[in-house]
Amino acid sequence: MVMSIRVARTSLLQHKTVLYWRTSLWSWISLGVVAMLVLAPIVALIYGAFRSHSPGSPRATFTLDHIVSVYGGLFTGGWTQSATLHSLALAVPVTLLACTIGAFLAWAVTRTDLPYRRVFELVFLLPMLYSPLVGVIGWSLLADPSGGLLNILWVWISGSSEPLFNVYSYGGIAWVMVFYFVPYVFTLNVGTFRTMDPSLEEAAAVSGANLWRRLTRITLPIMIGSIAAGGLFIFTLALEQFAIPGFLGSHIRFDTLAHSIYLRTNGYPIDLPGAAAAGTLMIAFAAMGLYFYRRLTRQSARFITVTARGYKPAASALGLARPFVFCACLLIFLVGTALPLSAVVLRALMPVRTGGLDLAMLGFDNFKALFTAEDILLGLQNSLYLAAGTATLCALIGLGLSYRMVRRKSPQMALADYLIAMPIGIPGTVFGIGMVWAYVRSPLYMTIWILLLAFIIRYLVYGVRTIGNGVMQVDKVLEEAAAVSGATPLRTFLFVNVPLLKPVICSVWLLIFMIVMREISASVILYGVNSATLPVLTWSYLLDGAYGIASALSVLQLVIVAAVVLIFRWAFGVDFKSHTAS
Amino acid sequence: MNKKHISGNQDRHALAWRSELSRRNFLKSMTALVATGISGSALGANTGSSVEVVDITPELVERAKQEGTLTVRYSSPISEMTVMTQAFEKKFGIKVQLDRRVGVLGTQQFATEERGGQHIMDVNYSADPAGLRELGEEGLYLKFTLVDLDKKLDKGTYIKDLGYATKWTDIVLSYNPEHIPHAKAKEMFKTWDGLLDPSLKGKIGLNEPAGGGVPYSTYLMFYRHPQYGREFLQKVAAQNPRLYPGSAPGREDLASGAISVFVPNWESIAMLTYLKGDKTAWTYPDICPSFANTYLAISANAPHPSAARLFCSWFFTPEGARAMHAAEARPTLKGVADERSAIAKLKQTDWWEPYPDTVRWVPDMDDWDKNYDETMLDMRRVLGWRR
Repeated sequence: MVMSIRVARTSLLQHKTVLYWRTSLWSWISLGVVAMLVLAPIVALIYGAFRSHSPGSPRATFTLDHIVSVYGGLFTGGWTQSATLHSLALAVPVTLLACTIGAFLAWAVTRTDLPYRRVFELVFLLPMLYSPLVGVIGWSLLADPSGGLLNILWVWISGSSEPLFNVYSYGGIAWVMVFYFVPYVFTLNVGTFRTMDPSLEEAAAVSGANLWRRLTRITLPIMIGSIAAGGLFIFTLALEQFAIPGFLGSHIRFDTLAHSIYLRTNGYPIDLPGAAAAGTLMIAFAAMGLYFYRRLTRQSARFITVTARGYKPAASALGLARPFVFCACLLIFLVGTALPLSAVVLRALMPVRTGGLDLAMLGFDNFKALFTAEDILLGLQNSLYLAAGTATLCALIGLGLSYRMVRRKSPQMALADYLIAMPIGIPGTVFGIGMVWAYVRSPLYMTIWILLLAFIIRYLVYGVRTIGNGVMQVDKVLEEAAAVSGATPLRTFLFVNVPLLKPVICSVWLLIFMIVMREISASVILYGVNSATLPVLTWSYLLDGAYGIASALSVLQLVIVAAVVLIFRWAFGVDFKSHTAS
Repeated sequence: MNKKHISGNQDRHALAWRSELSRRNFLKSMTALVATGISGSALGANTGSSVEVVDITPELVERAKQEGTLTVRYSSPISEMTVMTQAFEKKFGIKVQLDRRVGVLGTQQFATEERGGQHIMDVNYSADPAGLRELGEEGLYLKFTLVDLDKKLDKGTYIKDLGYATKWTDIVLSYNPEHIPHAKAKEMFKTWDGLLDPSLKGKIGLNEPAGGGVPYSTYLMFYRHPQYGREFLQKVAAQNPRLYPGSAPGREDLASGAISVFVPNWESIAMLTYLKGDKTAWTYPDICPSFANTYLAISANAPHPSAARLFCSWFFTPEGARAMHAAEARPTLKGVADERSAIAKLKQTDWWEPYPDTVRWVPDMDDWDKNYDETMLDMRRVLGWRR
């Protein structure tokens, strides 16, 4: 008897040891792959930050000057001080406002009986289909204090001599950035809102809780992890965003850290090591954001919304609030999307900019110019390949990694989690330079493959983090039930987890697809003769002063990406009414 | 210094690394990446002191055609470069692959590539003379000169043995005639002092000094000319101008009426936008900078050496100069009549006049190079540019 107990104990111990080593081995492999991908450009950047000239230059020597200038300057009035303060002064309110609006929209289209919610769900994504510079063009056309169409209209109506709007102001920059980031928050949250078990809301409704009480006491506390994760992204992206404050802030001498870094990579005097040193500061900000995120989501059980008990998603009745919520959604769409987009379409139809609106001048010359340009078709092809490839690989890798991070917690996976989040905090241009320094000797350089690699490194965090939130919401009991029924871990993963996570995976795919379709900052450094993308071409036309052609190209891009998104939604049933867990 | 005509065999740089990538190559490269360091030494650098005299010989044309293609990195306007390369392709049947890198980044990227042993670019069409000189000293650019150089080009339009500018950049003052009628503009801007008119407070757009040779040369002119001086720029700054990081958004705002005056613009771009229907106009105050600083330079390790040499020398022939005219640019080649198509159209207007040679102020390029860092920073300070 004693002997058999000992044998059983030994056998159990051996089984546990094998399991431990197997788990550990996979964790080490995951960490190794992530480290190899992420560290190459980051190590190159850090190395570059300690060189007097660009790495490889015969004049380059070891120096601490750039690091001292960047970090010391924060406290001694150096170039990083005001720029960092400006960045934070923008990023904090932009994050809060974008998260509030984005989460509200996600809730409205997924958890309520809002009229036309399927249409809203599509149109809220529109700003994600074009470059942030297009928003800048649109808002400049509308809200320039001297020549903006809205201000001309205002002066004409009111007889006032003072403009009503000024896009070249702190408020104007924040305004454009908020509406730029709202679709991000919406996309990041819509999947998790949708997979939320409505039983608690239903129970509250049965108990007599009104809509506001259900929203604040049930829905929001459950979704806070997902919204906070979105907030983390928006905060780091707002810090990293250089185009909007760069274009709109120059008139009022309002500078941000990301744009100062961009100028160091592109203007005179060019200062790539200084930009790299400042890039490490951005990495530090990203790491801090990640630290707070991990603290927030430490207890993943708090975020479980999909349990073993079957449920059918049901919309909460808005009741009397229905017309108000509808009007709020419509207003957000009209102001945040339709207005600037209309301005961009208008600019695409104008051969040259004029003071007022001369309808006789409007035409399709800018569109015709696109079809005669040889590089547009190649740019479109490259963009589609890269966006689809990056989205697919990030979703697949993200699924595997996030599952291990949530279900098989280990120090290795925690480290991998930190590593994956690092690149998103680095300004794209600086990241691109890190990639150049790291890969200039490889055959990938100046091919489409280095862009694919860069995008995977940069955007894998979206896959891991968003799918990770989805995994957190799936009760482990479901897997245990499958295991008890004799399913292997792989079978459980494929036939229990993946179907439950399908909405989130599809959201991630769409999100990354759209982000890559408009990525400019790293692409503009890494593209080669045959690997230019649509945003690179748009950027080139903008810098050339060809605003009309750039606007036309953006409109074309919007139509194509919208078509791809619609086809994807149709093909994969992303409107998951019948696909959500049951 | 030894000079030789290029007639011998040129090294052909294989482009195997750019061939279609297989998965194996991808994995090999990843492994190689781990194994190799990121710091590199200059590879294949041409540190010799010989200077080639490049001439368009039948042999050179034949070799260039055999190479069949070349890669040109550039930062000048797309429309200009497209017209130039189309003319070259039509003439020789050699495909020109264009790689646009705006600003000085292209030069830095070229340096990184060459030091890493990647020979991609054949020709750099660059407005970064300081970068050209620095990398020329490192041996990354070919040392070459053109046949009968003195007969073809004025001094100041080339960097000796290194880069040759194809076009003149003539600076003008652009204005919106809906705000300032032509006659008033002509009177107001007889001199640059017109910018100090109180009615223009908040209505002036300025390209920031680091925005390229165009703004820098203009502010340098103010600094160096006894009639103006640094104080003049201070007075302009007191007019609360809008500062633009590049000239394109400034021109856009001028056309929209957001500003009344944009400084500085350059005439060939103004002509291009005029041909598209832009209603803004331009005038020439008492002195205007005119310079040539967009240089054609050849990589010392050009993968297509003959095509690169042919490209860089052809634009200094009458036929090449006509290609520049087609791009509305004024070529630096001496002795060619101005055949730009915009000229004929502009002659029909009542406000345009040809660029008066009397206003031309040619910057001292030695002064430009020597004092660039110091004056640039000072100009930015004066204009309140805190970046």
